[in-house]
Amino acid sequence: MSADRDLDARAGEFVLGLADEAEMARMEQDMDRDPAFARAVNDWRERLSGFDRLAEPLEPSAELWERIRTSVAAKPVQQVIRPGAARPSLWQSLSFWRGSAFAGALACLVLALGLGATLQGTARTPVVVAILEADDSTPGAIVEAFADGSVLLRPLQPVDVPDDKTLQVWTLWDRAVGPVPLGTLGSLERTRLERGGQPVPQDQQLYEITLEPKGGSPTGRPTGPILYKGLASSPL
Amino acid sequence: MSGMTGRDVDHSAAIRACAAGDEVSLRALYEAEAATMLGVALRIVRRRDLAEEAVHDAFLQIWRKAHQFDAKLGSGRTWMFAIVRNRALNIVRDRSREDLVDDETFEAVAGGEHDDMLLRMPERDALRLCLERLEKPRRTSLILAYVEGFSHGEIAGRLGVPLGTVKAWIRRSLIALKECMA
Repeated sequence: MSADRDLDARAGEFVLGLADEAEMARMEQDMDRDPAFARAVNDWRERLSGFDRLAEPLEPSAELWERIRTSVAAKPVQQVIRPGAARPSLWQSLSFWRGSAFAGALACLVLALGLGATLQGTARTPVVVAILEADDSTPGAIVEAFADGSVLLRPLQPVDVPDDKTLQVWTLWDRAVGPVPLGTLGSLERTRLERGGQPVPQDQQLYEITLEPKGGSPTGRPTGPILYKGLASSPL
Repeated sequence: MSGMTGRDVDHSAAIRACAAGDEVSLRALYEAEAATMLGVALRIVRRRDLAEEAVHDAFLQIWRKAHQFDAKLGSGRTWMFAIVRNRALNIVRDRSREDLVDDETFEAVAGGEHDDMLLRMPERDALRLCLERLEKPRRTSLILAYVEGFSHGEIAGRLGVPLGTVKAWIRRSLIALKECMA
């Protein structure tokens, strides 16, 4: 099967919702990173939209619009991180949308790095910095990653973590390796995460915070919705 | 709302207005599409309350993501339906199917004739013509996946064929469909 065909088949399966969870997550990242894949996905959506037009319309209940209006009026971040298992669906939606084609959503990247970190005495100078944003582009946290592999996480938004959940910080520098857990947090507060064995952080390295079951992901891979994510950036 | 069709609204313009904070435009999109979106969601989640949940979440997403909508990538209407479909699929994945089969809706939907669906498409519609060229079980697999949100495993169970067969059918059907519709 040619590469083009393979891309189209994958994109089609993504639109059909057929891949397993891990593969869907990978494809969501591809939507962000691979314009050809994003285009293929959108082409499939158009191609199959004839099915949507055939759906039997159903009059919504009178309350539905009121509920939508109320939700729209509420502050996004509070909703995104609405506590409790009451609305897992909304969290799930984050994990879907993180990869949306329409998401130019990969964080507006700001800061800075230095080869400087390889120099002596610069242990406190981050090698890369990333601003992690929510799905709606609200900045949620700053990550400073240091040459020794440690990470300083500084929250910009309060996050209510439900009692049965844990925040988990991840980084991705190589898709072949996949996301690597950096640490778990009971609450989003200024925290230094020290996890050895990490390569020196690089430009464009992805950092993200997900909401996981208490104690952290049972699989070693992100399983919950992404609350914040962003790409690390090099200095000018 | 009945009687409205999506064509009465310039979706892209309304989505752009949403990005600028215009709630009236969101309402216009709702008036135009909520009923059909509810129908799309119901085919997947099979329960009215959950279908409304999917539509609620979808409009919230439409409002929040409006600034990310890019008309160059696809139509506004398709963008909206992709959102509600994904909301519905996520709801299904959060629950086991059995939870969702609690009323006659299931039989109504699942028993529905998929070929009847083709017949309701416009006669010269490219999707219809190309679907008709697929062998029936392959076509049914594709329709079960898209329209009802079935997984590979559920399709295999429904059609009584091995999982690997379903995977291969879908993949080849996608490739054939793309080439046919090009």
